[in-house]
Amino acid sequence: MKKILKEPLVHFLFLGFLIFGYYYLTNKDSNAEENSIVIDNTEYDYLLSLWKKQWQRDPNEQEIKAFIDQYLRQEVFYKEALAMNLDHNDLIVKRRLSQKMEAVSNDLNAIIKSPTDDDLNAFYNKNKDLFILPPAYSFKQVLFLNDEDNLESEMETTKTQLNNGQDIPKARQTKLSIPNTWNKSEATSIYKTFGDYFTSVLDSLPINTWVGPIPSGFGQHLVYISKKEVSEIAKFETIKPYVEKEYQYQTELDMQNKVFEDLLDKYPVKLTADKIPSDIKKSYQN
Amino acid sequence: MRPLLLTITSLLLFAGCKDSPKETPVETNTTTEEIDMAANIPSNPLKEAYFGEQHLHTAASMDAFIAGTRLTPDDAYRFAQGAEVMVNGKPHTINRPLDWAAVTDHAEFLGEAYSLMNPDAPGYDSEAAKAMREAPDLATALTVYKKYVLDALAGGNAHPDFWQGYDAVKSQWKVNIDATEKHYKPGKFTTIHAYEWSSAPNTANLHRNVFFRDTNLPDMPFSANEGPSPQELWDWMKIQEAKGIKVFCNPHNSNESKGMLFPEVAMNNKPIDETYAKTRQHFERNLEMMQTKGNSEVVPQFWPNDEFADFENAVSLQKYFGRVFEKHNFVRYGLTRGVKYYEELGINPFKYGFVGGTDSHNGVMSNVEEFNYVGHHGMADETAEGRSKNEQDGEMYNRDMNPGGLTGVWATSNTREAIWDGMHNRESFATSGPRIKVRFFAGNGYSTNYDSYETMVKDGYEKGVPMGQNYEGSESPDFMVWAIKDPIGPNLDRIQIIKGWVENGEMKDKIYNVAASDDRLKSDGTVTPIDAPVDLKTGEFNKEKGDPELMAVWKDPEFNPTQNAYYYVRVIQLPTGRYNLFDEIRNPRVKYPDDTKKTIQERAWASPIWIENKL
Repeated sequence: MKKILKEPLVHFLFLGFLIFGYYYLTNKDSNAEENSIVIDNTEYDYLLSLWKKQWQRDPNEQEIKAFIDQYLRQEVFYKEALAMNLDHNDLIVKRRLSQKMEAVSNDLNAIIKSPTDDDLNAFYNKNKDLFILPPAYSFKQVLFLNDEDNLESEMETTKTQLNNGQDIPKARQTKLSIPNTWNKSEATSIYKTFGDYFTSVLDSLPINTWVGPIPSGFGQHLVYISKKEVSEIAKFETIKPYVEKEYQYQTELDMQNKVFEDLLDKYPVKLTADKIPSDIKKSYQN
Repeated sequence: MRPLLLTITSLLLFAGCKDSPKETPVETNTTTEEIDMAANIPSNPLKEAYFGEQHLHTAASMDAFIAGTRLTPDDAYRFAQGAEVMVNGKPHTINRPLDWAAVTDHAEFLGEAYSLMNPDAPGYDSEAAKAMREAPDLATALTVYKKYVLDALAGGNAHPDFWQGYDAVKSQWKVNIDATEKHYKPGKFTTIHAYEWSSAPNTANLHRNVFFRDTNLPDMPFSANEGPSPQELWDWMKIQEAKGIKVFCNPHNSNESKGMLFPEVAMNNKPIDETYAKTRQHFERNLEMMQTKGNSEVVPQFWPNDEFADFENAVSLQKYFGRVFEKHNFVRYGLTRGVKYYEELGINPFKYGFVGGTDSHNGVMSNVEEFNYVGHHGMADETAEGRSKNEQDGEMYNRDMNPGGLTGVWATSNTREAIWDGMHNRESFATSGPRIKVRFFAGNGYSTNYDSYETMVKDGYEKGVPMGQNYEGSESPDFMVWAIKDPIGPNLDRIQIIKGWVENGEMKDKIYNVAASDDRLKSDGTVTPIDAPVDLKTGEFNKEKGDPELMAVWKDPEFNPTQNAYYYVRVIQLPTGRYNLFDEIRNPRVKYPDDTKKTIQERAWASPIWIENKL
């Protein structure tokens, strides 16, 4: 039962029933007068309010006559057009109606998909790849500029010294303003400072030893990685608001597609034109 | 089962109501959660440069909506943080996420945007709203825009007929506020509450972006419909200040201002006086140096001696609306005129720092990288072909537009308050897109050689003032400049200091080369040209030439202690491919007209330091 309740099509039918029922109840006696155009108090107030919104004042009698005229004109032509089936296969009518229907499905989503913690938990468990934390690295780096004298030998000497436990040379501390020590830094923020290549090779470097040179946009780096925290999945509790955001986004897309597919089932599709490429044709056959 | 049905029914009834949008209560207090979060945020007294967007439109700007943009403020903030969004039907991501961002939708049509986007809102079904939503192509969109917006404006109506009044404005403002709050992650990603006041009397662009420091916000923004003169905007800002709201604004596109952004008389035809100058300086803090519709610093015709003036000048904008270039329209003129006003009135009305932005109407925050450009104006420039051929209706040729600029702010931490304060103190700099960082100090006793970056910066603050401030010493100041390249861009070419002053009533400015890469700065101040060509087949820049970092301490050789002046910094990068080059490489059938530059020298501008002698 619960599953049925979640079916968008069921909601559609239910809504249809409600709307139909409402019209049935309110328009019971008017069947005989189907053709008449009624401007009752409600309709009049509505027309009046539209007029006032546009002109920001009360209309005089002439103006009242004008908007009633306009309304009647529209209704008469509208009804006659419906009677003559002019709405059928009209591109603009089609587009408008289908948009209305899509809007209804979006509204539906907002109405029925207020998620419980269980929903969120289930969604989280099912879509863990959405909640992978980017890899994070704790590392030190020492920078050499490409145009330094004796670059190669300088780097080798410094690497040996660092691996023997010596401090980072004073002249290379915070060189070019770039910090030497990076703690638990996410790949995205490393990318912002060091660029693409440097970030991408970190994962392949050994830990607890000075290695390099690794090039970046600034020059050559010696790098010492002390810890790699590779792509762990964030804990549900810590990212619940984010899970909820993703849940809303995903369910809205799902709902749109689901409604479309359900309705598609209702309307068998027959692609008889022989000019449609066959691969495309196949994709519409279940 | 029953409770669920009841919920559905009642919600349906609610959704069907044709009531006007509700009054929107606006939060007035920072939540305790935010304060807790703020306590754990690392703070650096020497400040870090945070890059972000301070000028962006989403579907909540009606012109953007009509052009086809459907991305919301929420989407824009997601994009800024690296999420994929659909731009004109194609998935797109920013190359590098931002540190902070502000959505600045046009206040003028916020109400219409609400009706356009919310099927439950009154006005949604109006003929005009329908036409705007359904415009299938550029030509239709433009017709719709003319019919419902421009003609309404020309007829003296501030709004198309489906505008539902101020409640609708408040409703959309609330949507923008909610998105801005939702994405604020102190220490990681900052969002700033903001909007654009878009006044254009006689098509002179006087637009200003307005920024709020915290969640103490007005219930509705003040638009050009309520007051088209900047003085009316300031009057409103004064009222907000009296309520404890902290607010400033940044003008943009002085290049389209028909001489009105840096005027001799105010819009009420009265000469600029002391009160005007004081108020303007109090509320207006930065100029947007560059954005998609051009670089406003200088143009070659008025600054023929500036060899770098010919850069993203958007010259074709002169063909529309009579927005012909005049010297009055450019930032360097404005700054110098400000010094002259200081001498005339005792206060400088044009005391501006610099910011950069995109003004994208696609909802894509700081999508500034040339190789990642997908246009900024919906259907008008979404394809390479459209960019090469179309014009931006009524504004300029698409190929004269550029991906836009970026703002760097020196701030102690990545929080809303620190970023806002940084901009408010003008400790901000603009770039034409790259993440070049630049520092600028004026003081006494700086060394030309520091053993570390930290000691340099510490000295910078201890012995002087940073960009955006007045140098108060009596001796000739040491100007210390430092710049570092964008990690994914080419090396730097040079650093220049630009000085402006007034001499015998005459406004003057002069450019000094103060540092050049590869030891090219000669003793006479000229620089040996560098040959660092871009590979026109691949779009790759030269990786050998130039330096990643430049630093100098400079003294003005013509310093005169009685002279009032400003000094600002321009950092020039080595050449890179312009977006049209990448468009042509990727789309062999697309050919831009020959007048389109294939390569450019991107740059950064650090906010000025002023010398204001006691009068």
